[in-house]
This record gives sequence, C-alpha cells and structure tokens, in this order.
Amino acid sequence: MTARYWRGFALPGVAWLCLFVVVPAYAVLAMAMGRVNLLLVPIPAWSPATWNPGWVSKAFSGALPGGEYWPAVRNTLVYVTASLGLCFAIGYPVAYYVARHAKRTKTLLVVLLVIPFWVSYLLRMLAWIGLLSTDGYVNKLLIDIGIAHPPNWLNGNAYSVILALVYGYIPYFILPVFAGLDRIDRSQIEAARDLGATPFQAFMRVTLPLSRPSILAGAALVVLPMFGDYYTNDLISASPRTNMLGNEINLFVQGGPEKNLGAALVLVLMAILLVLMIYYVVQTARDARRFA
Amino acid sequence: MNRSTRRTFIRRAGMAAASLTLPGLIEACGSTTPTGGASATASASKTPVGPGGLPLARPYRPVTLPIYADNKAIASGLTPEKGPLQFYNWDAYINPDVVKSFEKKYGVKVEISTFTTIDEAVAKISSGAVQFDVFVPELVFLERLAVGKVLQPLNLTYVPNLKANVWPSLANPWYDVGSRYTVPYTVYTTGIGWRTDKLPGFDPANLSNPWSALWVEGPKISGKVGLLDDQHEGLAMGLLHNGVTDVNTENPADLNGAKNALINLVNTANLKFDTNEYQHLADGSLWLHQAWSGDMASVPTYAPQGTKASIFRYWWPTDGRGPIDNDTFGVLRGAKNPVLAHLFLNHLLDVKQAFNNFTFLYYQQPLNAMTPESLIQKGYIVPNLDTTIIRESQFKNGLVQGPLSDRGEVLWENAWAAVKSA
Repeated sequence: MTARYWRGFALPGVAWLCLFVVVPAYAVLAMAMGRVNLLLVPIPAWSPATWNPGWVSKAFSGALPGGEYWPAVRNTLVYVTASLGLCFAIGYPVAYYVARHAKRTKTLLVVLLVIPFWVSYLLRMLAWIGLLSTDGYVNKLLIDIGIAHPPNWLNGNAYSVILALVYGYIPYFILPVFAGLDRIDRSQIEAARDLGATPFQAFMRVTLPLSRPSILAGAALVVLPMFGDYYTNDLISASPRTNMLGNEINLFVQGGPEKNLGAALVLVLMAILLVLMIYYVVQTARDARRFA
Repeated sequence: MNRSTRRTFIRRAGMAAASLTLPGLIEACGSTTPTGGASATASASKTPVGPGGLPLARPYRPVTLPIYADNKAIASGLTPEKGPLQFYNWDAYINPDVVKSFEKKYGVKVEISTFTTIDEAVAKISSGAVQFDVFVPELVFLERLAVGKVLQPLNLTYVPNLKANVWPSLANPWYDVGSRYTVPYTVYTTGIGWRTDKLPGFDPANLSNPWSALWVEGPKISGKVGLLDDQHEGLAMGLLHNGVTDVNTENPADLNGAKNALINLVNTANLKFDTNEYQHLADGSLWLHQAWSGDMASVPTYAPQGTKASIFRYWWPTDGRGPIDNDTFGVLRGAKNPVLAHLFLNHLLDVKQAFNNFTFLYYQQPLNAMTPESLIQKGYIVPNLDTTIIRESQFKNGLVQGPLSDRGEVLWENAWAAVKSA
C-alpha cells in the first residue's frame, strides 16, 4: 500500500516524459518514415505498417565514413570534442577557483558567471563577428603588438567555429562544476593532507574524482546543444568546409522534397547522443555507488 | 532615399531558407514519392510532368491553370466585406505605408501575419488551421497550390490595375495564362555585385563568359567572394559558368557539372554562402558576390558613413539572358474577405503605391511606369546601379526559374547538399 502510494509520486514525471520526450521522439521517427504530399508538406507515417524506411537507411548509410553526410558528422564530432576539451581546460580552473579560493567575492563571481546568460546567444555570436573581422578589434590588437599579418578569423576555418562554440556554451559547463566543487566536504581533503598527500595528490585523488559527476553533468549540458548547433557555424564561418550535422538537417528540413530525410538525420544525431547518454548514465550510476 | 533597416535582410534571410527548396516541387501523386534510397536519374530527353499532370510551366510552354467546379471565383460587383483583411506575407515584404493607405481608403483593418520559409507557409495554410485572405505564392509552388485548391480563382473585374499598369507580358503570364489565380508582385534578377574600390578595372562584361567572373577573379581574392545561399540561384551560377543556359535542367550531367564547379570554387576561392550580400558588399567584408537586383539597389543605404555610393556595381546581361524571377499575389480559397482581398491586390498594383513600396523594398514591380529612368529621376536609386532595374524587353529573354518534376527536385536538392558540405 505505502509502496504504491510513494510510487504514485512518479506519475507527473512519467506523464511529463511521455508528453515531451517519448511522443516527440516518436513524431521524429514517424516523420523520418513518412513522405511529402502534393504541397511538399511532410506527412508522418504514424503506423509502422505504412513506414517507408528509405530515408532512414539513406541517412544512416550516408553518415558512415565515406558517405555523403560523413564530412558533416566528422566535423561535428571533432568540433564538439575539441570544444568540450576547451570547456574543461578553461572552465574547470574557473569553477575551482570560485568554489575553493574565492571567499567574500564568491557571490559576486557567481553573478558574473551568470551575466552572459542575460544576452541572447545570437547577439553574443554577432559580437564575435565584430571582434574577429579582418579589421576587427582582435586583429587591431594583434597588429598593435607587432603581428603584421593577423589571421583572417572569419575565413571559414574550424578554429573560429570551435572558439565560438566554447564561448557560447561554457557558462553551462562552469556552473554545475562549480556547484559540485562547492559541495565537496573540505574535511575529506584535509584528511588526505593529514595522511601525507601533497596538494597535487590530494587534488588528483580526492577533489577530481569527487567532482567527476558534476563534470559529466556539465559536459552533458554543453555537448547536447553543440551537437545540434548550426547557427554558430552559419554566422562565424558560412563556408561549407565547416558544415556540421545541424547544418545538414537544417538544409533538408527548411524546405524541398526531402524533409523526411532531415528527420532521418535527426535520428542519426539522436543515435550518436544516445551512445553518449548511455555512457553518462552508466558512469553517474557507478559514481553514485562508489561515493554513496 | 530612406535609410533602410534590416528589413530586406529579414525578408531575404527567410527567402534563403525557403529557397533551399526553390523550386519547390516533388511528389505529385504518390506513385513517384522519393524514397530516400532511390537516386534521381531523370533524363533530359523525357519531358517531365508537374503536379496534377500539368506540364511544367516555362516561358516557351505557357500553362493555363485549371479551374475546378468546387473552387470558383467570386461574382462581380459584390460589396467589400468589413474585414479585417488577413494578409499572409514574407516578413517585411511590403511597405507598411502602402498597407495603411489601403486601410484608410476602405475603412478596414489589415492584419499581417508573416512567415520565413515558403514551405512553412504552405504547410500552415494547407493544414486549414489558419484562415488568411491574401498570400504571396512563389512561381515554383504555383501549380501545386492551384491543383491542391489552396488558391481561389480571381475575378479580374476587381483588379483593373492589372491591365492598366502591369507589363503586358506579366498581365497575362506564361506561368498562369489569363491571370486565373495570381497577379505579379516584384520582379528581380540574379547577377553579380562588386565594389570598384576593391576590384578596380573589373567588370564581368569584359569576360568571354561573364558568368565565370567568380571563377576567374575569385582565386585572386580568396575569402572575399560570396554566393547566394540558395539552392536554385547557386546551382544556376554553376550551370551558367559551364555554359548551360537551361536553369531548370533535369539532366544529371549538367547538375553534376554545376556541383563540381561550385565545389571547385569553395576550394580555390574559399567561397562564402549567405543571403545578405548587400551587407557584406556595403561593409567591405566581401568584394564580389552573386546578388539579387533588389538587394543591390539597396546596398548604398547599408554602407558605413563615408563610403561613396558610386563604388557599387551590379552586372546582369543587357540582352536579358540571365536568371530572373517574380513573386505573385493570390487569394486563398478559405478567404473570409475575398472581395476585400481582390481590392487589396488592385491597390498593390497602383503606380503610386508601387513607387512608395519601392522606397522600402528596393524591389521593383513590373509596372510600365517603373523604369530605371523614373527611379533615378525620383532619386530612389543611384545612377551606377541602374542595372538593378529591368525593362520588359529584357524580361522577355530572361532565364526563369520554373517548377521542376519530382525527380528534378530531388536531383537539385542533393546536388546542392553536396555543395554545402564540400
């Protein structure tokens, strides 16, 4: 009786999941298995009996190395991995400093970290165009310090896209990591020091492992939107050479006779994310057991 | 000249997104539904058929759109409804003053809803969830909209300005003989824009094939060259560079050649893809760009202070053998205010309103009174950009974007997708 009572509390959550996760995911699948009508409006195939698997097989085979969508998939994987690495390299020390060393200024620093959220993503990206253009502030600075031929940042190169992705999403990484580091019981670190660990050893063997769940959470938060991002690329690069999976999906979904193919490419993206999410769930479950 | 804002950007950004689909045509009657795995292998020898079994409209193959017994035009001489008139339009694709003057004239309200891609608009209209009166169909979608009974036939007795003011060739156009469903809105060409301060002495007209300008000049100014991020316009440039003037070709070899030419340009000239060429040329971030005539007419208004309007140029062949297109207005079948809608169409074809509209859009309407001379004389465009305005004599020779067959649609989109991930 009581068990059933408590389980009842999961109902709203389950309903939410069904309404906003399961149904939309099925809608994408039905769309990928569907057709377009006379007016090029995509018609979903709700019943598996009417499924048309052509688009899905085209999308998945095209996403493999050598396929027509492989360059986009490869770029996406490379850019997201590099951006995540940079997010960690830049974001972790920042979060660590704020959580462990900032004392009276902690609140102020957290506020400063949140402030970028106040400006819309689009505007922040547009600001980069002003900064990075050939005669922009960055290059003016570089010329001032003696670099005669500064790079053309907006020349459709991958570095600028990665830089923009990092800048756009890094607050989402720092905040959970900060929260995780802030929660770590200082007495555990003190115990490590008492037992003879150097500060570096204490960090490597206590702080870092304890903060791993929050690193994974931060990573999930930045990786998910980066995988589907296309606008950053459009604005900062505008070159097909930095095409990402999001751009490919956008191309097919926006218009034309192959909107179902766009939906099928969304399934490809979901499959990639699913692999990552399984890793995340397994790791966090393992961490939860270990640190319980 | 009024300082323009982002309006054309918004309009064109939407256009671009939509035109990834241009010319939107596929899957007419189910039997030919693309199934992803099947590769399109339409050959030029077979004459492709459009939706509903209609021939694919071309200037040399005019199409009379069918009128159905259950979808008839309204009777003549009816009293206008009380409104409000529901107008479904591209974002910022009409001068608000033109709308206001209509409201004043007929004592009604006009409510404007906007869309950013034509596919989005058609999906919304055909769902029946919304009821608009006036819509702006694209030529490439027209046959589908007529056969799908999304538009209602027009009663031209309410639209006398069509015969009075519009170029004769568009008062009775090839894509809708007898103007059964549409009246024309803007006409525009697709040519090449550049800055003379960055490219002194350059002029596509000096080349044996002017359409090769990007390929000839591009590698010398790598990273400063742009192409319209638009499936049909982009591939058409590749076709014309290769000497193929059928910009509606469904020959896979032609499209493959265009695709390869563009990929080559991506690699040799670091080609950029966007639809705000007027901004890039104005601020000097790009120097040479495939461009729409209306966007080029507006370039000086985007230039930073101190930039001379005289440095901007637009080339489009004087004989008219270049890409050209026009938009249209139509009345939707589900219109609650069909009489008012007809009167609105007539209002938009008024000469005074069209000039007023030009100061906002910089896109020309095909009216006899709207010539390069009249626009320069009024100070609406600078003399060095008179090439952005077309005359009817040129228009007749133009290479028009027409609808494609189902297979052609897939062929075009796949070629473009390959270019976009080069």
